[in-house]
Amino acid sequence: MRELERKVPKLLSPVRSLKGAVRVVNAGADEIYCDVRKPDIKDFELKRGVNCEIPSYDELGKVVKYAHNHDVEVQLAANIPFMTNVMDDVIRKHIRSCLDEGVDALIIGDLGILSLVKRMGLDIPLYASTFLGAMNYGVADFLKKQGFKRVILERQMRIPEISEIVKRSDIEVEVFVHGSGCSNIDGTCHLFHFAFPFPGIEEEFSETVDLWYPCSIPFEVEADDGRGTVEKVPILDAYTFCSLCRLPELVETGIKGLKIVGRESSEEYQERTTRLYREALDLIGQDDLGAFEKMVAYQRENFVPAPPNMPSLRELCCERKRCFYGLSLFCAPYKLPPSWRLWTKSKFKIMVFEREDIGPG
Amino acid sequence: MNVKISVQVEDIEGLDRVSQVECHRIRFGSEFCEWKTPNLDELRKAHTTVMDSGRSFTYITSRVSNLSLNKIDEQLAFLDGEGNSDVVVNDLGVLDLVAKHSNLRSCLGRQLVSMPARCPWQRITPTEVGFLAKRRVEKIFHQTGLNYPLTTRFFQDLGVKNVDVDWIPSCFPYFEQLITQGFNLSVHLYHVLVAATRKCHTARFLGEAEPEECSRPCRDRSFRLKQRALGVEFYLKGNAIFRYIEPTERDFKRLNRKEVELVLSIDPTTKLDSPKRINGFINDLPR
Repeated sequence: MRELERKVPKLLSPVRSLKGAVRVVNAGADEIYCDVRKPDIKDFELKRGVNCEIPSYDELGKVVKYAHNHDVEVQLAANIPFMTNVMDDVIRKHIRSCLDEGVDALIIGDLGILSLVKRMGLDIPLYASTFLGAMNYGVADFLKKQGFKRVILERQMRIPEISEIVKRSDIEVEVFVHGSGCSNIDGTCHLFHFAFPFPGIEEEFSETVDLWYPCSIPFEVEADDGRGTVEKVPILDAYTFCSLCRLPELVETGIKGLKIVGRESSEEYQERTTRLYREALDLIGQDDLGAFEKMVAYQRENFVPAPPNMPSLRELCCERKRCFYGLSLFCAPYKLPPSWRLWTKSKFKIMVFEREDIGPG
Repeated sequence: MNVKISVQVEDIEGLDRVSQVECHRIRFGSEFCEWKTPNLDELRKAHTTVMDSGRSFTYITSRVSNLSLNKIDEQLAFLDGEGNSDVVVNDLGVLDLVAKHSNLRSCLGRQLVSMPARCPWQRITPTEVGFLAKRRVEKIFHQTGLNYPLTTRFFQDLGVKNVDVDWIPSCFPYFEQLITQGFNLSVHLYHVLVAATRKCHTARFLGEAEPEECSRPCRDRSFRLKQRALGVEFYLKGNAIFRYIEPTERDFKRLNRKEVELVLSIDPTTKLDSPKRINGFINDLPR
């Protein structure tokens, strides 16, 4: 553990290489999470592509050694949200190989894989992935009964809801704080990213800021009753989110972990984002909220997750209303094309009113 | 064909619309939006109406927050007191609650049954691969999460006997395996679940405020989402996104070896929006 026992949650950073692990550990991560390429099922991907995986077990071993030398826990993201007989032997061997390299905990996203791990008789902490869709204290209690030590909550939570789960459940709670995300529930989304971007799509959508996922692409939205169409609406709502301003409130809830998203991102991004949140958490841990506010105000203008191509935090998140825990569940966090909101307000709303005025007859 | 027909409605108004439909079961409740969870009085009324009509009753629940979990807890106590009832669960917390009531049977909802084949993309491998490699991936991709015996046992130990799946013909061979394993299948026709959200796409698009104040425009409004570059067309209803699969007679015949329940949602896009049309559809099913 680090020199001081902090009252703030652990900071978890994503890793996909030894180089990245060295950078995030030195930047102040308390825990890191990663996965390793599985050679026996290399053609099968669901959520993400191979770019977010450490290339080999040998490199994982080096990651673990470096992390342990710095008292940092290594979690294996064994969180495939799906399991079949065909994959049984592959996943079994994969988990064994990762344990042999010294990983400290398993993140699990499927109850079949949970059963497999139990059958393997492993004595290792199990963390419930966001794929298990925990949005209430009942799920948290259920997962605790099944043997999980920690639950990673679904992204779409309000801070008071998180707080209630922490208070009512006897399980460690972890939440996401920064990175790429969208409005779809992880465990229920089938817009898999593995095949994206499709060939030629970058050119067509050169103006789209977050063209990393299919859900970042604008759609033509057509009213099903044939009453109108709105073009180029980013309705599926992929975005980069940030929780920097909300950290004091999140810490207050009593959560145990704050997770940065971005295993597929560059090492530079992983390091810079880790350093940003480390600095913020340290100031909160020292009860120096004045310094924290100043730091946030400064970083809002000056922090660039991955220079030179990415915009500043202010441009990327603040101006586009990507403040993750700060907005209404329904508030449009994306920058709207100039006309469509007005259009929907004036046309769709009026249409509803007109129909109500007409009445059932 | 050995099928039973079940009709799914979200509210009392929908229930009134299907009173003349010739189905054996009515499924009542909100499958995706917790904010549309009926209150206890509405549930009582729906239960009485359906039971009085001589049909079976299933209560549908969605993925929920703390607040709705408390509400559902109260409702389950009511249903338990009424005798045997089926409850569709899309949340592990609700599944745990149902297991505490001896008269209630859990039906695993679509949000708790993994089906990678719901993915709308044509390509199912990260890169172009050869024929054999593709066949190997297909063998995984078209299964459901419940085709893995340890997952099956996990849920069966919790008392789950009924399972909701989508009508995806490439998955039919694996549906038969589920039936062999002892599950009763309810197959949702037409709309294959692609994604669901709590930060509702429809509400955001129509400028609704907080969910507690939402005017529920999705009760009578839906949208088609088109994107030529992706080669897809989606259907947005409330907080869920679907893709559309038209059932063919050939596919009906492929599924007719075992007994399944077909689920019809009352919906403008299916054109099944009146008792006459639904009854016509049921009567035209291949026998």
